[in-house]
Amino acid sequence: MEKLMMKGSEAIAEAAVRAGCRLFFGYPITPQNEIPEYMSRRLFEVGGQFVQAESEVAASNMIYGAAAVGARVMTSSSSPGISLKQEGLSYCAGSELPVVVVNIMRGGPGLGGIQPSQSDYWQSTKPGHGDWHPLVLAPSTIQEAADLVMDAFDLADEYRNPVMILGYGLIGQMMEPVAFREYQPREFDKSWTTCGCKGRPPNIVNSLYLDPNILEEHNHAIFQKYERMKREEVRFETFRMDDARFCLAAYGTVARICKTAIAQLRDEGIKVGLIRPITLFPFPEAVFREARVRWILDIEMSMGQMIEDVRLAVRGRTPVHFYGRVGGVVPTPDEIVRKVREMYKEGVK
Amino acid sequence: MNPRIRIFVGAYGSGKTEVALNYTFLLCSRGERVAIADLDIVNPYFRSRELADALTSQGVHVLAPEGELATADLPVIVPGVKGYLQNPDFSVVLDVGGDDAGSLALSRFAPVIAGLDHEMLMVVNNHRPWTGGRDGITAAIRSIEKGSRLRVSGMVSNPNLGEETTPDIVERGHAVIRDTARALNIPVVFLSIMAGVVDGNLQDLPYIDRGVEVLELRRRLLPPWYEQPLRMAPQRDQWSRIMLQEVRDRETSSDQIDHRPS
Repeated sequence: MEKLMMKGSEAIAEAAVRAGCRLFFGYPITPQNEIPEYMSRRLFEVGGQFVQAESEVAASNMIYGAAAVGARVMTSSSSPGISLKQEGLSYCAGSELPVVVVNIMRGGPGLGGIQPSQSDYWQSTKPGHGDWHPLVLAPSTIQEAADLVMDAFDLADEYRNPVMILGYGLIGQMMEPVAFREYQPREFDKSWTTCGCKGRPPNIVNSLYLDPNILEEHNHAIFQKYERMKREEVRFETFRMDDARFCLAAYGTVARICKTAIAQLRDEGIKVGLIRPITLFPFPEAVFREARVRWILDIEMSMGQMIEDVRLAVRGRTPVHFYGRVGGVVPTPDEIVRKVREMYKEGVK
Repeated sequence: MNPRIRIFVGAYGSGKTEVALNYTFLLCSRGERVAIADLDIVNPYFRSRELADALTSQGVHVLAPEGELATADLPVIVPGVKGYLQNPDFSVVLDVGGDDAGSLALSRFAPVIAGLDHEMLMVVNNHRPWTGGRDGITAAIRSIEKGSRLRVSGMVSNPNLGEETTPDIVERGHAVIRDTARALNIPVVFLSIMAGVVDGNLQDLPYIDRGVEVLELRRRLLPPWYEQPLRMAPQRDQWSRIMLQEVRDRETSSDQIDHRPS
């Protein structure tokens, strides 16, 4: 198939349609409006349904309903809107519903701004109320965003759990060439759905458990799924780590900025590599733990959120330092080069 | 002779802003007095106002929201646009937002523009969704004409796949766009090609009709990792390895497997 030049939002929407998503419920917010806009046009062509809900809360309850009847469904929003969706997403997790959520983050807190930011690492990997996690996938290119969306639908069905695609203004808005792979549909058990009970007892999809012992059991069952995710679904990219003495940690397009910086630093003889988590939950702990480096420099467009997981991963064996820009300011390769050069010259441990 | 007012319209992401910016810098290099108006009220990213400093330093008058409003997602059109449109001393470039929604901003000036020497150019990239062929391009033109209350008088052929553009992509894409223009009985005014994609003298390319000017594009709106351009897409970088981590029973870091088979 010939490649297309696509915005990230368009590629995410198109990949969802190709993965069998026929239902989309959303509510507008910058910088992800191109996702609902594309869906409103594209779902019409393929016999799907698009609803602009009256609010984010409504949209997140609509995906609950759609998933409960066994449909492939997606919603999308940006940081403050994701806060509103958190209630419904927790219900989806509690009811073990496969849903795909896209969060195109913006700067915060509060209304914040609309420029690129990674301010939602926490609310994505360690979300709203209740003991639960979505599986979180963080693309760094438009091609990867399209690929991960297709995987997201399968992962949601595999684990009957919300899966989140985490991007921000750059992933949502910039254009890059994309080729869509042929999506191979997989069979999943849908015997639990509420799609008509003729000839069998009715199924109930609910997250209410009044008996504490049963709710405890339910929580354990959910966390067994997370343990399996940790064993089987962790994804990451390493870049020039083979002989690295220093390691950068970054996710999303920040990793691409780091790669440009690393090319420069390597020219100067500073042996630095990069670990880019692709799954933020489950977090790629082992690769950080096993990296034999003097220090790790965690770089984020936040005040330092992923750094907590990096520190937990290395268990105090490797010093973890931080460099961040916030508010919608995107770090430049030069800034990162200067920071690493400085640490190198000062012999930071 | 170039018309004094050139309006660049097109579908979302067709390359309007890059073309408008490059055209503006070209006019500057010819010593013309130029004003560029950023009429994009739709998309708050990758707009010509991001180049305001570079443009101003070349003597270009930039008509776009300033300060905090420059990065707001508010439909702001600054005063003064009409004045420049009516000022015979200035060449005016209008960078309009995408699709019919974006072209609505232009309709406010339609009665003024209609009586002035102008050209409204539809920027087309056949590698974008919805505008891959004659039907899609025609539908996009009609909806933009309806939104703007002005007629598209020519096309800018902008076939590209970004960093992955090849001479073949340019030639085949241009053929699609040229055939559409012929069917609609409007000229292709510019063929825009990213610098470095095609070797040799661009104006001598065999598939270019007489009257088509080749606009050599320098990308003006780049993401930050292109500070030192990397030609290769990062995923295909020889140094990168994408892995699924097997935590269970893992002993050495060499025990890593490739990206999940699709």
